[in-house]
Amino acid sequence: MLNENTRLITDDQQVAAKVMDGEAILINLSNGLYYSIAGTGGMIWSLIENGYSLEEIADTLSRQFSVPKQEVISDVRQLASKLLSESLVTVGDSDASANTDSSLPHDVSTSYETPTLKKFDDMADMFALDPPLPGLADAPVIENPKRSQE
Amino acid sequence: MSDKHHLVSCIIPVYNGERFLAEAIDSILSQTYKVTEIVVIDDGSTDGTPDVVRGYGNRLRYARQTNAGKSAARNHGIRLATGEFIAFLDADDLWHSEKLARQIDRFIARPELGYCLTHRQNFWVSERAGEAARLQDHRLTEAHPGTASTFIARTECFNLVGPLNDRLKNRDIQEWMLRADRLGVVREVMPDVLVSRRIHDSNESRQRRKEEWFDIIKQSLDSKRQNKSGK
Repeated sequence: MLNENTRLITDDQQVAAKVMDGEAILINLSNGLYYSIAGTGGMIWSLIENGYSLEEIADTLSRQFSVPKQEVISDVRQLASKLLSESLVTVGDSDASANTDSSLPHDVSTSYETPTLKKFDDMADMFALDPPLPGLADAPVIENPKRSQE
Repeated sequence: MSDKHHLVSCIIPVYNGERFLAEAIDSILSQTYKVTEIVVIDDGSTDGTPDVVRGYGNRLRYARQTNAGKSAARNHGIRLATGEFIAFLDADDLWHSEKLARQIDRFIARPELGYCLTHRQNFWVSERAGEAARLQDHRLTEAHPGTASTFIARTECFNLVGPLNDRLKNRDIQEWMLRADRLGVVREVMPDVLVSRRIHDSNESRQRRKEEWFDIIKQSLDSKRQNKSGK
């Protein structure tokens, strides 16, 4: 199912994400698991958020770090399938186009490092206490049959 | 501990809370458990908060500080508290009348218990009724475990674990709990819904709270890596 044209979609209602010191930190808001993508993770995550396809991501990284694209694309595919299996992203429309205008974070690493996804559960019960509220503007709209009859 | 004669210091940190503060204070005064001292820490309010407090005369203690954030205000309250127990109540939340009684029962039943939380129910102010309707089937409209206004601890736990980290504006209690966990302090989360939490915050403050989770996680990841490289 995953190919070079695949674009992944992030959902900030379900997964809160932030890039810190080049590392992407993701929190699954529904179960409190959190993840780190070290290596060039921060940069890859930003590219995903901007709608880059897997190939476009590999292209960007390969140019940025002067490493062969073949090497990068297989890393990116592996990471993408892990992100999917952890429900941190979904598969989007491959015909869409990337938002190449927005400025991407300056990667702090100087050389290419294989992105690795690590999963942690040691704060799950802290998240369960006091779960974060979704943003006001994008709170999920739930169809209320009683209301729509009014 | 044999009987219910243990003083509970109820600490309310407040910043520009004139709108809801009286309701919060009243929810302490109407507790079935009566052995309480109320400590209001005014975090530099510029509204009518001092007037609300004045209306209660000597039924509560009041201290004012230069604006330093909610955690600093809670720490201020802890320093002034004289009770055997420390409980927190946010100035916009409400305790149900049985709240302290039920929790003190747990401490009496379990001498090893260090601190205790309960479930809470969110409710929305009228201006945000729209959100309440939109979130009707969302987990946040159901009762869920809470921190802040549900929290009560033996005062001695703060001697052991230390004060709250006042650089954090919102996740201070969770961060304290992580430290307490590491020291083996015993926690209980009661399934009872004993607190009502008023939702009236802005998008901005929600975003800020989310940001603080990232800071806590980043710290934890960094310290894990440091431990690993140190071995």
